[in-house]
Amino acid sequence: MTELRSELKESVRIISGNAACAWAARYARVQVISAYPITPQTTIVEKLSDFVENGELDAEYIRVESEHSVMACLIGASYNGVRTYSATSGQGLAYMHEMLHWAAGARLPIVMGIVDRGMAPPWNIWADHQDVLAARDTGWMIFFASNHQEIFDTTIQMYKICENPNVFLPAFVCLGGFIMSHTQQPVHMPDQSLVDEFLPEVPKNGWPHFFLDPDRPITHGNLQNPGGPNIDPSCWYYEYRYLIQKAHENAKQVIIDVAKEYQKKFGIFHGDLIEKYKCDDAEVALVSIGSLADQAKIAVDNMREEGYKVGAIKLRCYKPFPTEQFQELAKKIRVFPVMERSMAFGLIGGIVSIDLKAILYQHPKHPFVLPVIAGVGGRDVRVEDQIEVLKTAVEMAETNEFKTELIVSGLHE
Amino acid sequence: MVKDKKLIEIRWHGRGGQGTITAANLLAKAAYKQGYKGVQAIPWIGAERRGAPIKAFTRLSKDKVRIHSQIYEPDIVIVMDHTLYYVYTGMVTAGLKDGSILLINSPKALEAKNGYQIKAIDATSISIKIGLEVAGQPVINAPMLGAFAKVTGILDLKTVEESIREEWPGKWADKNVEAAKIAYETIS
Repeated sequence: MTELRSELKESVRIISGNAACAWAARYARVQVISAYPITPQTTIVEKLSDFVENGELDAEYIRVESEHSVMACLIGASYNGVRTYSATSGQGLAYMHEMLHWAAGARLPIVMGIVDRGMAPPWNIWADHQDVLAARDTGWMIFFASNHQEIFDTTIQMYKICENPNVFLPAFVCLGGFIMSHTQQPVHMPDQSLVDEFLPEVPKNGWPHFFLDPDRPITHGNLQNPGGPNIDPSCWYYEYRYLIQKAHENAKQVIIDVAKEYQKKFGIFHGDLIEKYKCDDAEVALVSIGSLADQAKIAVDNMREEGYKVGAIKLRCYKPFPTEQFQELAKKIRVFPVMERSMAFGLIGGIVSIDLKAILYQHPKHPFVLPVIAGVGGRDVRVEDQIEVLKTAVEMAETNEFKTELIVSGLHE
Repeated sequence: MVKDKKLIEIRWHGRGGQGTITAANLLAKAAYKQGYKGVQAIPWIGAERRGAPIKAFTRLSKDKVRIHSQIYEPDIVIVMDHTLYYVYTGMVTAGLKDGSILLINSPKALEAKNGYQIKAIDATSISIKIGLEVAGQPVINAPMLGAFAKVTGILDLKTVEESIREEWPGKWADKNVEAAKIAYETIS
């Protein structure tokens, strides 16, 4: 361990999004990695196995037979108070679903990379948010990275956020299948000593709320009865669930503080729960997640050159949802088009647009939320497609007439 | 001139197993060394099959690259296998504009038709000649990169050599460097 301490110097590496995940886990000095391969995530755990095999990362690397076991393994490890990491995608995340609830319920600060992809059938391995958003109510925090640098920085930040005693929640850091996972871009990596200073030491005797210790045997996660007006020592299920909600509320300030602290230490800021781009005088702001949010900045620049007052909002953190920020933005912004790679089947729109509508429903200014489906299954989304959506939203702002028809961008006829 | 553009967009056409993805990545790394601080290499592959047509994209810019879509109007197209040019002419030449360059690995010269230039280099023969082969197949990404450097002026030959040496070790790097040099000197 001491031997490794000063090994990594500041550098720029031109690497894949998946490699950025693996490098971040290495910088965070994760102690247990559990792995099961699935495209397009596989090269993350492959890279980590290289690090461990070469003696560059002092971690236990556990190969298991399924994604369900990956999470079971990390839960067991995290109970023992160690820093853990894995990654998965699509069907793998679905197979892991039961254990996701357990990790959040046990309040374990597990960080996992999600290379998001379409759900089968038919098979699809490209960027799509249906897989990760299907886990939206498991209690995990959900972050989306919009470029390679952000993948690296967010993964490191997540350990600090998840391990904060006011939070103690697990988190996903999502990146789009192939569009980000296999694409190469430059990533600036700091000196290891700075990351060591930034991240807290993992407590020697485990997390304060949970520690498996044979010398002090106790039971975790036992049966809790429904309870009622009379308090009974075995009736705290409801309260545990409520505390997950409280932790999400607490996490908001922690996320903001950690983003600020990261900026101070490393000079990089990707936003906190959201990132606003040219929103100050905007009447329309395009909301998007992942690589679409990075590209939305180009669409906004192009529209601004033509004199349109438009901006973009990157939803960096989807859970906890940045409710307060959007309520503040809605005081000035008239229309929020939401362009996303997912479908809330049976409703009108993608999953994020439904949530945004819900939190703005009682807003005194009654802003419009314009749901747009785009890029499902990795379908290419061009800057022109984003400009078209912005123009539709501008028209809505001008006429004050809401379009009820769902916009499905880039669909083959 | 393509090299003076703010954002240079390059589209690759190759066949699975030829090293096209590696070449697209290597170009991004070399360009970064040359001062393009915003680089991006996107693989566009379907099921992994040897010989199947694949695409890749490389973007070079002095600023951050924020576009993540495919490239539809390339400044440069690089064709790793001349048969693709004949079989999939439409796909390979799609979006080429006045002033665009099509660089092709071809045993013979090709004539340009519509405003863009065609530059041919027989990279396969160069690789065979110096034994740059994997499992009996010539590997042509180094000579194509050498030809790219000469034709576009975006990279110095020295940068190409440095990037190759960072990517591969010892004698294998020597062979790649030699192939890149021959291509650089041969193509006009």
